Amino acid sequence: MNFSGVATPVFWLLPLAVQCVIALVMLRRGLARQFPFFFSYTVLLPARDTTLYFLPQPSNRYSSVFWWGEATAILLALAIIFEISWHFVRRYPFLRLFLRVLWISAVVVGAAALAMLIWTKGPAGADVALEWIILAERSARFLQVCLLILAIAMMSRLGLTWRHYSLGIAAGFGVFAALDLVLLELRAHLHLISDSTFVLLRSAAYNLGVLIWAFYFLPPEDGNPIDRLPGNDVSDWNETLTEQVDKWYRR
Amino acid sequence: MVSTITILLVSVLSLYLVWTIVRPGLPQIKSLEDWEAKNHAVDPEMFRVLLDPVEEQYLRRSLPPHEFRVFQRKRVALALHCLDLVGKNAAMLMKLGQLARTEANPELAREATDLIQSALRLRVNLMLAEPCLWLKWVFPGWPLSLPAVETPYVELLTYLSRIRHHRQWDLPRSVLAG
Repeated sequence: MNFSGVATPVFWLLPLAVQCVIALVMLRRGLARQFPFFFSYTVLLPARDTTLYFLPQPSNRYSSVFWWGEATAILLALAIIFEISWHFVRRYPFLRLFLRVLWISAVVVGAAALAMLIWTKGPAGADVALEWIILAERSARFLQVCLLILAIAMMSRLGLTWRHYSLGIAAGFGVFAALDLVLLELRAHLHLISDSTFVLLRSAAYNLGVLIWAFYFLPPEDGNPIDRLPGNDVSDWNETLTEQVDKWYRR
Repeated sequence: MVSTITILLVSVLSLYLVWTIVRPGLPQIKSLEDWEAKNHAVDPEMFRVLLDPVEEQYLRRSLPPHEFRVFQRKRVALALHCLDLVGKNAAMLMKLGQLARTEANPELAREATDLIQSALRLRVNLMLAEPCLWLKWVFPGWPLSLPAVETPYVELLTYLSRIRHHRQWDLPRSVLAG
């Protein structure tokens, strides 16, 4: 059996199983209410793939389920960016500006993505409809990646570098969407890779994203309570620091 | 071609950002002991001296222009390093605040929320201060006033002291109960 023969079922089964486990963990920890869009995404993709497994291929029903599922997944993925950003800033009113910046950026990048779609020389392959869909998908992914860059950069600059669910979701999507964007460009615009390679690599990229989510969601919560007193001079340090800063203010 | 280059750049940037947040080796803070072991001793006096306009004027008068620019850049680079360490401390304190929030003591949880909020304010201030310092590094002679970053930092440490105080208060009570 060649590599593709082994990799295809593994790449299909692995995210299916892992996402089901992530969904269960989210339900158990009450995270489904905190991240409803991400939970819907986590349930939708395995449900769609399982449904596709039982449908005859090729058929109109198979095609409808696949493409409607794909469109819904992209819309959910865009909604998830705002969900994780909102989840992060909602407790801190002074960070609302961050969300506003994200919205404005969404409009600007959305316009750029649309322009990119319009200005791209039309499909050159045999299946024109499919190539248009892929080009449209490329534009949507471009929007997603730009928003993710902004969201991850902001969260990272604000010090959220530990294993936080919002950051994990963003990281998983960041990897998958970025690799998918490159693959869509190579396949739909530059025609540098074949359909089979495109499908296999895309699946691998999605697996990588799912593994990052698993890395953030599956380990037990590291909520070690602070269970003993520190035996150091933090207060003294604080005092010294305050004194020095007061001097600075009196200048 | 432009769209291809844009797409590749955007994708690489996204992958790089993800790497910066998931890479191994980021400080793990799971207890106050971790904070004690990993926090950086940042001296605000040194930071103040580095950016003191009087000192800057003195150096400008005393040194030839080229030497002044070289020396001033070294001072600004040191100041940036200070901000970097303060930022790391703030990130660790945010994590500590998260851990303290999981405790049953509602007062401690409230203080922890304040700590996180304060740390976030500090990080926002750092985001404002760092570009100013970079500008100062590029144009060493430019008289530039910086946004204040020290107030939230002091608040932050006060919140930490309060959390410690709550823990001290909780301990005898738990000892008595035990």
